[in-house]
Amino acid sequence: MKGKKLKILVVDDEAGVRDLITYLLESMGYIIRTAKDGLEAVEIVANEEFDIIFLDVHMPNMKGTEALESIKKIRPKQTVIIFSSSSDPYYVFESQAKQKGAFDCLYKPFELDDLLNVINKAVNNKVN
Amino acid sequence: MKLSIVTKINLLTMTVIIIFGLVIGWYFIKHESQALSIELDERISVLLNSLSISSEYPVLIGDREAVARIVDNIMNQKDVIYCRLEDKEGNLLYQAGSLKNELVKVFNASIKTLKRAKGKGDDELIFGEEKKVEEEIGKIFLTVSLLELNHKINDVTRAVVIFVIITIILTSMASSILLKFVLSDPINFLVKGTERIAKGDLNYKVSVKSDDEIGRLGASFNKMTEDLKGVTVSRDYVDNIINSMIDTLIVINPDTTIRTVNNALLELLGYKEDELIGKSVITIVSNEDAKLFSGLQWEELLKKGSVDNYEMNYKAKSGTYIPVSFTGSVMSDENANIISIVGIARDMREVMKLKKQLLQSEKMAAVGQLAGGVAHEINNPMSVILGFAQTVARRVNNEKDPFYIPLKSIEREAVRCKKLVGDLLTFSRVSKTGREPVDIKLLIDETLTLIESKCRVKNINLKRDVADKLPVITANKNQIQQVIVNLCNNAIDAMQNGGDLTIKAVVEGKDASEGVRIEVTDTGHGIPLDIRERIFEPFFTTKEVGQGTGLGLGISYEIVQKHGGKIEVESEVDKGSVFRIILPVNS
Ligand SMILES: Nc1ncnc2c1ncn2[C@@H]1O[C@H](COP(=O)(O)OP(=O)(O)O)[C@@H](O)[C@H]1O
Ligand SMILES: [Mg+2]
Repeated sequence: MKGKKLKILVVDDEAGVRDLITYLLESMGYIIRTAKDGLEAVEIVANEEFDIIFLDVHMPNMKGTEALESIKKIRPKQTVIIFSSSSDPYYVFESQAKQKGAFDCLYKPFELDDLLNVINKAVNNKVN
Repeated sequence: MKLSIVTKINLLTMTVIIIFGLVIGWYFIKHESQALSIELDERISVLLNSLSISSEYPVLIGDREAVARIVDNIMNQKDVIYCRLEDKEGNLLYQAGSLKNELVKVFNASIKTLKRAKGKGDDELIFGEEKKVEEEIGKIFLTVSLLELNHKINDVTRAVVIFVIITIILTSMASSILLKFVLSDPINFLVKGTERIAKGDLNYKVSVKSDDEIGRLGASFNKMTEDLKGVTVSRDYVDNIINSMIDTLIVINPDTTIRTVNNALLELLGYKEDELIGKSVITIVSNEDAKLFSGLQWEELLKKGSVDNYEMNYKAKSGTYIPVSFTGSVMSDENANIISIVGIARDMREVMKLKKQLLQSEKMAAVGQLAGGVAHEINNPMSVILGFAQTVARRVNNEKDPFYIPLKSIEREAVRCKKLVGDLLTFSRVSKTGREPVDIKLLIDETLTLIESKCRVKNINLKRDVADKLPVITANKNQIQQVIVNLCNNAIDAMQNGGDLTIKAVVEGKDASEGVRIEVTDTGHGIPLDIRERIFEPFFTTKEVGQGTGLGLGISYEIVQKHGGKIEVESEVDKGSVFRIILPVNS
């Protein structure tokens, strides 16, 4: 790992998910911030820079897809990983999300390895 | 006694001809015999005349010899059989011939001579002329035989009779032949024509072409049938309609015997027409439905006048039941007497099948909807449970640690739940997700490696029978693989004591542009008939709790359906089962 700690924003209305990602990633030495909906996320992103943002799709106040657009407006190069649910028809959704600038897509319930793989991919992408 | 009009006319003409012939014949015979007797009379009177003249002198002088000569001479004449001469006192002078007992005619004449008048006669002799007086000096009797005459008359009569008879025969023959052509044949044609029309054959034409009234009758007869065609429906036409019907038709008498059936019914039930006509309708309905056609229910139907879309079963000749929707109504005459019940039954097999399919897809849709709704809510807690379990388990990472097994168990069960949710979601994804060209051969190879080890453990012989050239199909690879895995898993489950599992793939249809057929065959316990209908239902399982979810075949059905394909099953209890998937090249 490089000297600078990576900053990660986790946006999810589910406290459990926020806690899980925080617990997992903090232990790996990342700096984690959380937001509980899209609106809050956009506010935070306006003032702070993050290396990676995890963005849930199904949230109150501002949906993940809208939040993604707003975030991309503020920071076009932002790496965003979308959390979706396996109840979404993923093929269609995935292509839509990627078109809107998402880096990748994770489907809940994800397994640990899936999560770690995506993070590694994103980190490598960031570093290169 | 019934006499045809032609016979009557023939009899009449014959009577007329006979009467006419008889009259003519009679007249002819009469005329001819008269002529013959007159001729005889004339001849004999000439004979008498010459006899009286030639015998005048011999009688006068009493020369008997001369008289005898003259008489003998006369006897030579034809027909003369007896001749006698008397003097004026009536004494016999001479006789010849004999009187036979036969038909004769007797002629007589006087023998006369001229004598000078006596007495005052002198005074009258004024002009020197002698006044003379005729005086009878004898008598001649001549008997003529009529035998010859009668012969002649008989000959003539016979000739006339023969002639008349021949004439009668010829004329009657001619007239009956004429009648046959002019009247009898055309009338028979017309009679035949009316019979045909009565049977409903309006295409029948009579060929009566003569120029008379009968010809005109024939022409107007043809015109009538032509006109009838326009305004009536012929029996053929009605038969045609009845037999072109797709639905089955049955006409039942009030006593429940069958009166009429159409082809559709015969075809559906496998009977011949004469096997049903006159039989009780009970013959062709299932035992449970027989009650509609007997006793109170039948009376009620007759009273009510109709029955609508009554769901029942017909019984085919082979004994199999065929579900039909029966609609019947009572047919009455003008006096409201019930003639029969007309029933139409629609074969519901296809509808039932579609209904079942619809029910199936409705069930799946419902499952899908439920799954879609619940999955989202379950996925979040599942993510947390699974994520923490895996994170902590990994951190512990020591099989001796007291938390290791609990954590691993939480992880394992969470993964199972995740899989179940994923399975349920198959029913809700309507979109054609992730279609790509799939090489079936390759796919099968990949899939078989997944189940190979399981087969080995269960002592199952895995056989592979894949055609060399298979088309590449457009499909969701994961889903198709899931179907094959599901089928193989079921097959393995059905062979608890080992057996053969064969996966076969061939081109479906005429060429590779149509599709592929994949067959998964096992030698397991088979599927009993009573559950065969239900195995594709989501959640239907015969396996123990924890062993089967009952989703495998439901999901497979759904996936194949969404690929535009078909999935079929053939099975024999204790022998094994074949599951057949047919996938089109392009769905
Ligand atoms: N190859 C087979 N041989 C015998 N029975 C089978 C076979 N495949 C399926 N079945 C029957 O169909 C039922 C439903 O199958 P499935 O939908 O895959 O659910 P599950 O396997 O979870 O029970 C099974 O429980 C079993 O009774
Ligand atoms: Mg199964």
